[in-house]
Amino acid sequence: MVQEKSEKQMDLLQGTLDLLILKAVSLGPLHGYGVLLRIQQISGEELAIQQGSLYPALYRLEHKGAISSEWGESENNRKAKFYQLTALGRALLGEETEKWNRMSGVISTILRARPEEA
Amino acid sequence: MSKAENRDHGSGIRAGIRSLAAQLRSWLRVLAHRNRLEAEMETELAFHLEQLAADLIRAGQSSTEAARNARVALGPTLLHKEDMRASLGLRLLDELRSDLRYATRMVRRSPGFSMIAVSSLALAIGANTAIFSVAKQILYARLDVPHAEQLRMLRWNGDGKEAVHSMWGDFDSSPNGTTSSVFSYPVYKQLRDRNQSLQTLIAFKEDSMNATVRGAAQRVVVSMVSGNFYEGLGVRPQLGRVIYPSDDNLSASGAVALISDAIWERDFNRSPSVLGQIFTLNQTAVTIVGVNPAGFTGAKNVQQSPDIFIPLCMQPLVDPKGQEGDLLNSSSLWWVNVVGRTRLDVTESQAQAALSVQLDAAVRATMSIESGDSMPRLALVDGSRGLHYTDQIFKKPIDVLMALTGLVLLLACANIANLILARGAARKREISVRLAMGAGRARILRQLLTESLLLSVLGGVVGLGMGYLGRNLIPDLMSNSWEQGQLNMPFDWGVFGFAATVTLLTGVLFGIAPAWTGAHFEMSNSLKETAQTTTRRHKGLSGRLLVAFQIALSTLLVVVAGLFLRSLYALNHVDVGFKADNLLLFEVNPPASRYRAGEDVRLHGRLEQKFAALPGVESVAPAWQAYITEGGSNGDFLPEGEAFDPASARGSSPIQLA
Repeated sequence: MVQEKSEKQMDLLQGTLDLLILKAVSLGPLHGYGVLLRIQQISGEELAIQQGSLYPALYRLEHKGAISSEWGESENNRKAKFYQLTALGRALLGEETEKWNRMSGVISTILRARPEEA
Repeated sequence: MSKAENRDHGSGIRAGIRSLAAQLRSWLRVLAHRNRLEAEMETELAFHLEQLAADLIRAGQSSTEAARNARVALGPTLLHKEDMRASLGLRLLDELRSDLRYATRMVRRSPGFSMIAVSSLALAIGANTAIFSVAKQILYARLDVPHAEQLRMLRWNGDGKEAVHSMWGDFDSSPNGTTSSVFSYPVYKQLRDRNQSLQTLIAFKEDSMNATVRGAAQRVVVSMVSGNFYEGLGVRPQLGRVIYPSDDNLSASGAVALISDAIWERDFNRSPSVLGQIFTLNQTAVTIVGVNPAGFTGAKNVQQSPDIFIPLCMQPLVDPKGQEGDLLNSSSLWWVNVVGRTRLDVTESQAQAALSVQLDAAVRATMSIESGDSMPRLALVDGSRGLHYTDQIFKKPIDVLMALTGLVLLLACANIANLILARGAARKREISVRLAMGAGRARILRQLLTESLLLSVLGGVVGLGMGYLGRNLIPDLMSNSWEQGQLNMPFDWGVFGFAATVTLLTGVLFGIAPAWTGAHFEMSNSLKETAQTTTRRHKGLSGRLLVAFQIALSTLLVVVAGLFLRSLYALNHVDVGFKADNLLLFEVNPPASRYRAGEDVRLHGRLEQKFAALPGVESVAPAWQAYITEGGSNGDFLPEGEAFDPASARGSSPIQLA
């Protein structure tokens, strides 16, 4: 499931990890490793995530109140910390998604520009 | 569109506040369970590694290979944990804690230096705190009534030839004219009844009287107040009732009184059965109807409360003065103080103008104005601190004391800064090593400042304790045996805040220069020096400036102290014109209702004989005003054989006994 970083994997854009984590936990409570797996799974293994930066990001989001955590049992009956989206996090996710869509729309418009149009 | 934006904006702010609240909660939670946090971070990362390794094994790796690869993929956990703590906003706190731990170690390692620094700081901060508490109380404290800032005291100014010839109360005459805060009762009544520019006009007068409470006679200060006094000031009793406008009529409600919290405590043991009890005041039986709240000091001053409050209409009964005894109907003697509250819809100058016109009318209506008499002019002054005599007397000495103790504190700062600078030279190696190992200069600066602040906080804590113990020292020094009266200096949050601010400022003041020079020097040179090299005394500009500053300041303080001592010596050796040793001074106040005019003179004659007969008494001398007791009396006199001529008497200067 977890692959060595291959040539075709892309590095994550600066500042987008928080957004991806919010999206991942919006689909249901997950532990830290689960967040990593879900992002990789949805991205079709296209994204390389620095695993070490995952936890500081999770803690930052929890500190901001966007996600909350609870200790529970993992699939293989181990003690694990599960994260889930709060109401504040849901609002944040909506906001950030919209911002991202607008930004990517603008950037792709710019990149599509042809010489005669400019 | 704009509506939507507004909504967006509003929800953004709401979300921001919610996030802030969440951060605060998270912070507190983490602070409360710091150990649990560390354990949880450990468990979480271990779980991650375990799962990762399990997945790698499932992908076909051997267990040792999988464990190694998992660790590589996750990266250094120590660093991650540091980042996680930083995510929770803990880094600053952790650094502060380590700074403090280090600073504590440094303080302990040089106990001599620390003792000198802390004790000199404690002395300076303690002196500043004690004097500030006195200054705050005497110069700035307001009456303990709601909205004291609205209170305005009525005064009048004259040119020295005003129609007011007879006064009982404060009176100042200077080349610029006369000024006083007392009015006649008829004038007050007319002002009050026609007043539309202040909320209400309240009259009061303080005098000392004899009270016999439960069989024991004592000298008490009594405030005689108009019926609207409590209502106008907005003061409620802590027990019983207040004096009402209906009490202005003596025959209706009888002789009633409120007592102060102090009397309630001292003579009645805070018993609620005090209500209805009867005591005698200058031979008149008076019923206690209420107890004033603690902290309420009447309208005259902030420092001390009168012991007893009675309706002003009781004056002829308990405190007769002058020829007829009744001052309520006397328009010639001016004696009551008048205070009012500003109204929101009337400006101060409007109020003053309106009251001036009314005073003029009231004076003309109640007194006969002779030719050559001028009219007193009304002035509204701040009444939030009562008549504030004390600050007129003590303002200068207190300002001087404040300035001097401030200089002492500054000198203590300079001394310690210099000591730290000298020590800083010895610590160059240590700091160089830390710089070389990657510590930032800001971090070193912070570390050195933390050490200074720790010293100053230690000094501040000890100083605060000394200030607390010494807060009554200055009032005790200023009081004399003739006038009883202990001013109590409250030690409140304001004083604590002052001490804390001074402490922190002190720490920064003496710490910043050494810390700056400590953190900014060429480390390469210091590292090259061997341990045997004796570190040179820091020869920077700041060191030399500090020494010059220290010497200048010390000289100034020594000169001032010398001058003070000289003045003190001179004061103790003033020739007062009579032999001042083995003198006993005391005052007798026979109640006027029992010892009427003539009778009181005979009483003093009898007292004089009896005292003279006592063994050990060499001689006895009665006096209307005792020497050098700060009392005074003004009066006109006529040479024998001359007839009283009102026209020439106007403007003649009365003789003054002091």
